[in-house]
Order: sequence, then structure tokens, then C-alpha cells
Amino acid sequence: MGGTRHEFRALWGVYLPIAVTVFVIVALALGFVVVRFRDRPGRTASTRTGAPRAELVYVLAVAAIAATLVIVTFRTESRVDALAASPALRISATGSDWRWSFYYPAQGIDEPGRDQAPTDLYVPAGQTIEFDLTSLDVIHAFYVPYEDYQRAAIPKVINRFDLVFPKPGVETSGYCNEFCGIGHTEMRFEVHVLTPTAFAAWVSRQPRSGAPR
Amino acid sequence: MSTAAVSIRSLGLVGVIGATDHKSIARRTVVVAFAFFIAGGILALLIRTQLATPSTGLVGADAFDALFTMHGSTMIYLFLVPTAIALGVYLVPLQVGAAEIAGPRLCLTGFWLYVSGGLVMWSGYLTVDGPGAAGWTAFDPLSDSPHSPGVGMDFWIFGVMLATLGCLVMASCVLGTIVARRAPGMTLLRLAPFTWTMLVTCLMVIVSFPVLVIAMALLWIQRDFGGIFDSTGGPIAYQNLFWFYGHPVVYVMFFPFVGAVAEVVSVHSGRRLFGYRPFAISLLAFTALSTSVWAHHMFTTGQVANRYFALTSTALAVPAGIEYFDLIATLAGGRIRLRTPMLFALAFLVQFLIGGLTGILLGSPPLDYDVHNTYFVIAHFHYALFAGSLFGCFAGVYHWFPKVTGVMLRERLGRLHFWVMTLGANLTFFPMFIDGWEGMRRRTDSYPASAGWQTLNDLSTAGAGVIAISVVVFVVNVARSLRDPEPAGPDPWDGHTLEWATSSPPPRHNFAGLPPVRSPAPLLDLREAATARSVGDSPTPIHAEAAG
Repeated sequence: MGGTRHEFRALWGVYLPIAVTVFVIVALALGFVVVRFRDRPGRTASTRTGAPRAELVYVLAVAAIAATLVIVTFRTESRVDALAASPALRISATGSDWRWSFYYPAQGIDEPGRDQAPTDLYVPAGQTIEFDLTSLDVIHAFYVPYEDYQRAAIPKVINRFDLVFPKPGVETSGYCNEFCGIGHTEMRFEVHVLTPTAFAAWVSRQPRSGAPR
Repeated sequence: MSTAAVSIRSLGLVGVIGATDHKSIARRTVVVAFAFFIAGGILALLIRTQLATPSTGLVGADAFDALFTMHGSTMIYLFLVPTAIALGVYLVPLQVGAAEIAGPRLCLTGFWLYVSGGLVMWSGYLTVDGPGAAGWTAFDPLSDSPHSPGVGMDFWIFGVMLATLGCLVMASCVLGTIVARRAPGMTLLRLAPFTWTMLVTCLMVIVSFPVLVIAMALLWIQRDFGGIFDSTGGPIAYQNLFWFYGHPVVYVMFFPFVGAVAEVVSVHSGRRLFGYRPFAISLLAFTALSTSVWAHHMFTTGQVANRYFALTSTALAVPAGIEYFDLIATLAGGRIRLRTPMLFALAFLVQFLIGGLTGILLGSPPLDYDVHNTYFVIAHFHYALFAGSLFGCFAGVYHWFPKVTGVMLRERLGRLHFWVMTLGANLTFFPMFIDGWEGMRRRTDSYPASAGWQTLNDLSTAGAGVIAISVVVFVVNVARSLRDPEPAGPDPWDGHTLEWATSSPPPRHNFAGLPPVRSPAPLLDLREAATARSVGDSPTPIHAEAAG
């Protein structure tokens, strides 16, 4: 399992070349037609009003491309949306105006966060982590651009998803990505991707039972 | 009724307020909508100034939130939607050969509802806490009273409700005209291409606009009494209601301008629209799909059937593909006059394609998981609505201005307007694809200096300035053309459809007499029959029957 970053880039690699090719073909066709059929002395306009058979073939071709894209999307989404039966780690992520807090239930570790400052999120590399995401007030969204992934944090709803951070040593930012009021821009967290050993050492250094520090 | 309307017209101010001529209602709607376009554009310039550097601090976070909320709300509720409908209010009665719109006083009521909606929404700026600042979507719970206190938010809700109700009323008059006021001989398959697009637009309005009006009423009850969206799933219920309006409305802001482009492409190529029936079928397919794609705005909520909405959204490529095929095939084989309307129509085809193709990307949930709510989405819908719809709108403005006013717009100023606006639009919106793909979030008043997005944002800000210049060129063009008029005559472009069969501007009841309607292009039928007679062969209008 390559994680969301890999899945996103692979799927993008299918869609973007097709989109660019279609754009180039249509733009060239348009450019050719405008130059070839521009008004010049002696030109008369064609009176032909349809080519049903050609148009039908064309429609089937467009439909085939669309169907291919839908199939590739469904396959990718099955992998991205799948939840591991036994993830290596569970983290409860909670958004509220305007901070992130993270709770590691099995380890009893609480990162309550502070207003106007990014909360730290420590994760082990290469392991499947299940996030249980919710909100205490308005809708927020948990977004890690490095992982090419986001999910909405909705009050009274828990959204579960798995992430894998492939490489240790990565320091990257996460953001709220659903507009949530005047503190929205600064509602951030910092992701620290540790080796599994370094993560275990970090866990053992933390105060337990979720008491706020 | 008609005599009353005529006598009221002579009463000056009362005439301005109460004139029920559809042409007068439409002209006033467009003038008011253009004023809101300027106002919303000024807000856009302020947004772009704020984002010129990572932390410019031109305005604070609360003022910035009001800026993007009012920019989006103004452009959608108060500019593009009313302009799209007004185009139909003006042209549909003419194109179907009617003396009057169906329900003229109802239509006038719609206009005043829209105007009062706009004024109510903007009067939020006169309140202590400022106007609505919960985004143009006003998601619950952000828009409820604990999170958006202040009467400005209520003004926003009532403004949206009134303006949307007004547009709904005006659109129902346009639909009634198409259904009940068509000239003898004008079957549904002889409607002008633009009237076809208005027909489907009005169907979408009638299905989706009442849902928004009700959603706004519920939002107001939630703010003042609670109990609507409080339960589990309440916020998602609001989003389902909102987007059930919010996606069809994207096509309401699009299809009338597709219709304008189809007319311009056809008339300025000197030939009938190629593939008229597939074109009409594709419009109906779009209309049917428009009510089944709304939750592609909600892929990241985890609360909707992503696959279903990915399937329906991607399926839109098929009817869109038909429209491109027919428009390009109309150009091919034509005698293309590259006047200003055609330039705008061609740019529409190229630029909207960028908006449409990136829309296919956004219709894939795993791709949306990354770029949702980033500037990639901003770039996508500005390519669709600004570089697409607005360019189609200007194609229509340059095409029909002679009909509405009786005078031609200046060609050289029109070309200048076109090239400056094309440069500005692409300079503003293309860089947003890149910084959005790299993770720049929408609705933020600053961005990290370390992200390296300043150059891209500077290009966007410079582009916004260029767009502003192009709008000034347009205003100068209109002012100069009206002050020193070049008379247009009834039919300056060799038009195809019935609006060109009367004087410019048309008289109060539109027509002195109508030509026979045997195809979607009755005036072209007459011209071809005359040519055939003068050549001396083929006395029957064969093409009319082939197309009809």
C-alpha cells in the first residue's frame, strides 16, 4: 500500500495527460477551422446541417473515455477509502474554533493544542494510522497537502480514514481546509514523521492518561 | 392592459418603475446587474491586493471574510444569474415571435424582488458587524447565530432569498413565453438555438431555485429559533439542500451564454447550426444530469455516495462533447467573419474547455481529496464562469447591442476590449491552477511566505488589474457608441432568427409582421429562397425542411 500520496499522483497521471490531449486536439481543430474557413471573396457557406453517423461515432468515443476514467477512479477510491481491520495506531483528531487537538487512545496521550499556535502531530513512518475525525463546533477539514488528502471534520459525526506517511524525517504542515471563521487561516498543525523506534521513544516520554499539560 | 402600459410609460418616474415591456425590464435588469458586477469586481481587486504578498494585511481577517463572501455572492446571485435570465427576458419573446412576454407584471415583480434582494444583501455593509461573512455557500453551523452574530448575516440571507425569488419569477415568465407564446409554425424543433438554451435554463431554475429559497428560510429560522439543523446530520442536510440548488445554478449561469455563442457562431459563419437536434438533446441531457451531480461538492465530507456522483459528473462530458462538436462543425464549412462577437465566442470555446476539463478532474473523488477547497478549484470555476460564461456573455452583448439600442458598438474598441480581457483572464486565473495544486487554500487572508507562491499570486493580482482595464475599455466603448451613434439598422449581421425581422430597437409590441417560420432560421430561409429565385433554379426552400 503506497498511501494517499502515491494513489493521488498515479490517478492524476492518468487524468491530466488525457485532459491536455483533448485540449490540444480541440484547440488545434478550432484554430484550423477558423483559418481555413475565414471570410474571403468568393467563399460561400456550406448548407449541410448534420452528420448523424459521424456524430454518433464521436459520442461513443467520448463516452468510452468517460467510462474508462470512471473505472480508474472507482478502483483508486476503493483503495483510498478502505479501512485497515487492525491499524498500527489510532489517533482521534478534533477540530474546534480555532485549533486542532490529537488524542492517542491506546497510548493515553493528549495533544490538546493552543489557540493561535499549530498543534504537533507525531506519527510513525510506514505504518497504517487510522484517524477518527470530528469537530466540536462548525465544520472544519483536516488537510495535509503532503499526503494529497483531506477530510471534513463535522460536528456529531466521526469520519474515519487511514493514512500512511511513507518516509521518516518529514516535517510538514497540515491545515484546516473548510472555512470556519476569522481564525481559519491560522488553524494549522505540524506533522512530524518519526521512524517507528523514534516514535516509540516519543510515546514513552509523554505523560499518560490524557491529562492536559 | 397594453394601453395601460403605454399610458404609464409617459409618466416619467412611474414609467421607469412600472414599465412592463419585457425589453425595458431586461434592459433595467442588465444595467443593475452590471452595477453589481462592478461592485463585485472592486471586491475582487481588494482580495487580489491582499494576496499580492504572503501577509499584506490590507484588511483584517473579518473584513477579508466579508470580501470573499460578498464577491462570490454578488457575482453569482446578483450578476451572472440575473444577467443570464435577463438575456432571455429580452430575447425569447422576440425569437419566438411574440408581441409580449407571458406575465409581464409578474416579470416586473421579479425584477423588483431581485433589486431589493441586492440592496438588502449589500446594506449589510451599513451595519455595525458588517455584511454576511460565511462564504457564498453559508454552511451551517458557521452561518448560525453563535458563529455569525450580527444582522448583516440576516440581511445576506434575505438578500439571497429575494434575489433568487426574483430570478425564479422572471425565469417562469420566460418559460411561459416559450410554452404558450410561440408564433404560428414555430414548433419546439424550430426554436432558435438561444431559445433552446433558455428553455432548459428555465427548467433548471424552476427545479432548483425554490430549494434555495426554502434553504434560506430554514437558515433564518435556525438562526433565530434553532431546531432545524441541530441534530446529527443537520449540517450535511443543509449542504444537500444548498448544492441541490448550487449545481444546477452553475448551468443556469452557463447555458444562456452557450446559446449566445451558438447564435454568434452560426450567424457569423453564415450558416445554420450544425447538428441542431443533437444540440437540443444534449441540452436536455445536461438538464436531467444537473439535478444528479450536486454532491460532487461534498466528496470530502464522507457523508455522500461518492461513486454515484462521480459517475454522473463524469457523464457530463458526453453532452458537453456534443455541444463542442456541433459548434466547431458549424464553424467548419462556414464563411467566418472575425468581428468582436465571434472573437469572444471563440475565446469562450477555448477557455471554457479548460474549465470543463478540470471539472472532469474534480469529478474524481480521490483527486478532489487533494485539490478540494484549494485555488485549483478557484481557477477551475473562474475558467468556467469568467473565461467561459462572461466571454459568452460579451459575445452576446456585442452581437445584440445593435438590436437593443439601434447602434453598433465600435469595432476597434471592441477588439481592444477583447484582447485586454483575454490577457487579463488568463493571467489572473491560470497561475491559480499551479498554487492550488501545490496546496494553497481558498478563503485565507494570507499564505506562508515559505511556500513560494508570491510570484504566482503577483501574476494573478496583475491580471486582475488588466481585467479592470478591459472593463473600462468596454464602458468607454458603450459610452462613445451611444454618444456618437452608428445606426445599426434592423439586421446588421445577416441574422437568422426573428429578432432581426423587426426594427432596432424593436417597437413596443415587437413586430409589424412575421415571416413564415419553417425552420430554426426563418430569415436565412427567406435569403436562400431569394437567392434560389434569382439564380432561377430550385424554387422550394429545401434546406428549411431538412433542418426543420
